[in-house]
Amino acid sequence: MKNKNLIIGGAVIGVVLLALIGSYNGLVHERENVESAINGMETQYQRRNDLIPNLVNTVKGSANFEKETLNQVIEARAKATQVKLDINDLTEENLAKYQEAQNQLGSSLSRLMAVAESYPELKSTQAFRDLMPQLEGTENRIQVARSDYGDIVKKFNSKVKSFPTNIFAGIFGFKEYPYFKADSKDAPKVDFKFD
Amino acid sequence: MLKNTIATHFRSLPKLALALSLLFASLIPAQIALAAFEAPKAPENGYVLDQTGTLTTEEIENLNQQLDTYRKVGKAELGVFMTSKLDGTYLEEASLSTARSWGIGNAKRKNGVLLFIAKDDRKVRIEVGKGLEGELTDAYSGRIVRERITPHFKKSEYYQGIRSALEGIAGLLKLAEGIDTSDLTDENDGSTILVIIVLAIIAIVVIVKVRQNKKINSIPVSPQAIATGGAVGAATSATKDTSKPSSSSSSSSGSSRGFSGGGSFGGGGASGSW
Repeated sequence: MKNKNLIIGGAVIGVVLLALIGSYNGLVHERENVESAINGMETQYQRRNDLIPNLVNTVKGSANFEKETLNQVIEARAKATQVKLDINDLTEENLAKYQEAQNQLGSSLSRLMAVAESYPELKSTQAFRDLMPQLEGTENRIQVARSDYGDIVKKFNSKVKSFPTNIFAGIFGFKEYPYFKADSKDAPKVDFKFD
Repeated sequence: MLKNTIATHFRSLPKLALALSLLFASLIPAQIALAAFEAPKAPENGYVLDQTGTLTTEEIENLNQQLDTYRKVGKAELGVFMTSKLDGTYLEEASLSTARSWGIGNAKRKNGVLLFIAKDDRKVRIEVGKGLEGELTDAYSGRIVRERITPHFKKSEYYQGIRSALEGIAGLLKLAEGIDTSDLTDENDGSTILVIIVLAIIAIVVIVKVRQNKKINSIPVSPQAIATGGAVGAATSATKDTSKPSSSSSSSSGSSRGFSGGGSFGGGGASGSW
């Protein structure tokens, strides 16, 4: 009899342990996904940053291009490079700061593009024509990376919150990740389209 | 009994209908808001889907043949989708969701490319898989759109535009220059391990049986076991053969057309309008 109880007890503990390991591994896996989504997002923002010197030079080359808009872009870029995301300390506040800096750069860029519209000789250069799809592409990639981040975080957060994973998540210290604010609504899209 | 249940069902039918219609009524606005554009199913046994009926069957077949050769080269997988309207969905969103849901490209190489055309909206996009972003850059994609697609589309020469774009992409990626499957070992690795496992199991079974019977003569090597062994052998040689062009061999994946199911896209490419 005693033996039987021991076996049953052991089996129960075994099952619980297995569930624990399973859900822990699941959470770790999901968290890795979130982290790679954050990295992917940062890469795309960085890509935009890297593109700007090229853009600035191209635009500068064009005769008497309006200085103010150009300087705004340069300034916004400098600010945006200062604000970094820390995966280990990703709060809603941090993310909002990051988002704001990046959005400022985005809007200063689209202003620059709007101004460029009135410089036909600039628009007709091959360098500028090649820069356009690159900028468009970067904006698009940022959009994609952000929405992918949102999807992955949603998956992770719902896992962290739902039973019984929430118990293990509490034990192992898994916390929910913040969303981008605009991700809840449809953010106005930066549009660089000409023609 | 049966009659009774049917009767009760019929009696509750109006209620049910009411409940259902209420349910649907509550669902419909949400659906309209959400799904303006929905990615269609991937074309069966091909790479081209034209919802507008612009391309002739012959033209589609030509494109399919061309794209099939490109896919067999192994460097890139190209798809074409032509729809009429996007119904307010962003071109980039629609194109990305189509490319992802079709699973264009090899999962490991992430080498899919989708040519997405919204005919009535007069918008076009080349969606480039993550693995090709370095070669088929946004700038190059933009050039292909500007120089190869829109000039033709302006004259309503859709087939010519598509063809020229695909050729441009193929030229850039050197798709016509020979077959390269050097890094396509992921599937092979999987099957090799499987083969080893199967062989190991067979070996163990045989050893165990030998020990049980202790008589070499009565080893029950069933015809099935031999057949499996033979099939495994054939499978191993088939795996090795995939490094060669192999048009007639290689069972399902090699001969039939269609995308590999990767669909790894991150928003690369370029858009344009005409």
